[in-house]
Amino acid sequence: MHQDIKTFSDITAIDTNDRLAVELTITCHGRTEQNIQLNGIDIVAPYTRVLFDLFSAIDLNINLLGFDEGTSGVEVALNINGLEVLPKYQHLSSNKKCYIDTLGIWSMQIPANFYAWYHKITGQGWVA
Amino acid sequence: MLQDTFCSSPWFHLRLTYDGTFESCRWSNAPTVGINVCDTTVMQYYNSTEMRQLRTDMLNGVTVAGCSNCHYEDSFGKLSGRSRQLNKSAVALDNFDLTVRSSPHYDRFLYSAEHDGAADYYPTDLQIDLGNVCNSACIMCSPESSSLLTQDYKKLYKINPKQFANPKSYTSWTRDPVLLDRVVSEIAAIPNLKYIHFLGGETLYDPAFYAICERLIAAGVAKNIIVGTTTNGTLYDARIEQLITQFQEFHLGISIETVTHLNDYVRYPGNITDIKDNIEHFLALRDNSKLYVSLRITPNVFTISEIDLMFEYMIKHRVIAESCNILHNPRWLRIELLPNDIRQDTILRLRALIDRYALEKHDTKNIRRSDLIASVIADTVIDYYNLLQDYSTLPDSDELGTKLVGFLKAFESLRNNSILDYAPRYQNFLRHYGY
Repeated sequence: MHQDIKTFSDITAIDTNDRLAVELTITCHGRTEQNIQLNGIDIVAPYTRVLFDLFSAIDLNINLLGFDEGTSGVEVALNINGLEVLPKYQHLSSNKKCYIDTLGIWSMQIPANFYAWYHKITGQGWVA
Repeated sequence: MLQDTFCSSPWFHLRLTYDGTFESCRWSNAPTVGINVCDTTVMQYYNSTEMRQLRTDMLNGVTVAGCSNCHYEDSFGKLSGRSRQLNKSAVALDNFDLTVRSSPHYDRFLYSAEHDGAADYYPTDLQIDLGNVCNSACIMCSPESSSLLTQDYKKLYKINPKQFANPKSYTSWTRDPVLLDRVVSEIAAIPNLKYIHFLGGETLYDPAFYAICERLIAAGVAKNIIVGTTTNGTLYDARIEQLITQFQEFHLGISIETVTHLNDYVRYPGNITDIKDNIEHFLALRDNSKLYVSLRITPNVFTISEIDLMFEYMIKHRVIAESCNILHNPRWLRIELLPNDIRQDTILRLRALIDRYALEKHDTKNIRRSDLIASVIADTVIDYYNLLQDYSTLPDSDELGTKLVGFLKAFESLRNNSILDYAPRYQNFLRHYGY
């Protein structure tokens, strides 16, 4: 957070590039094979931190290509600017879970902009 | 810092007061410039010089004098009107710059910054004061808000003109049927109007309340509007049951200070037994999901000492208290005058309550969510616990103590009652100031 915001014009001057720090943690349980893309970027590491524009939408896709039925799967954790998104709001993902144990594409999509979305999904009340 | 002063309220809210004078905010304590609905439309006021200047001040980081009550509450971490209005713009004080930038209202702020404070939207959150028709004469109220208290003040002015002003007579704007018709038509035509809060007097006692609601229903806009009102709880009017079904939601705030007969003294001439019956009657209507009930408390130097009982009642009945106003006037009723022994005892009892129910702070901003009642109650209890520990005594406490006694004795000469029958623990304190 800026500590020198004295007037609204200081807010307008904020550089909105690289303002969403997205932290993605992938934990594979058992044998799994998958392709992971975060806003079109291929992800291979268990932990990834990527910076996006403040007004970026977030589009996380995991294509599970192989696993052992009943014994393996992929667990996803997602934090944005320090705010927990997954597993807390896993009911908003495509399978309503943050654990993937079905072949095919699992997705978590957050429309722009993040903070307005977060206000809404946390039930903070109407925007007058 | 801008985050200490900025409020988004002027972009979507305004207030129409008892005599038709507009005010910029329901929480403002600034004198108005006197723009009246008689000759100014709601939308004209929304873009009036007064509102444009207020928006400009907000954008420039000016500490607006009329916002001092909210700033005082902010200083204790209490949920202020400012916090609640910022929340309506999706602005979070703990992440101010990024949430302002991301706010759905950002473009409106920007428009005002570029157009001398003018707004390009509409007011969506109105407070409408209907007049002072009231069957209560609460000691902390003002004649402008109570016809019964007006009669008392006319006599009290003769007894003690230094402490009691001669009440000004005025006619509520709602008594002019042509004006009422025009204003309701204007309101019904506001696009995206989300919330109207009606204040009296006693709204459930005022025909203007029902007339306006029925007009909004007839205009076909009620289903899109949340109506809120504040009642003193002395009346149960079955017409409410019908109104609830017609609006998007119906928010009923019931003013009560404590659950003992001390409430009868403060909210004279109410009867707490009847009021609790009515509260429970209203609470039973919550099964209709459109009704949201809250208690409205404004603790004073006396009722704060029983606030733990109030909280027990709220926990038992699963009803929150909205208290976004620390009582400021009359100054001699402020909780900061609380004698230290009673203050310490009240703190201990609140601590015991917090421990007994294992209450934790949640910092809930959207306090009217039916699924968060327990969290909101916990926040309120802990906020008052912190406030009681943290507030500083007032520099003019001795002078205020003397004024408090003069104030009570004047009322009691009309009402033939005594505060010591309702709050005997205050005997030494009051005697010290000449009671």
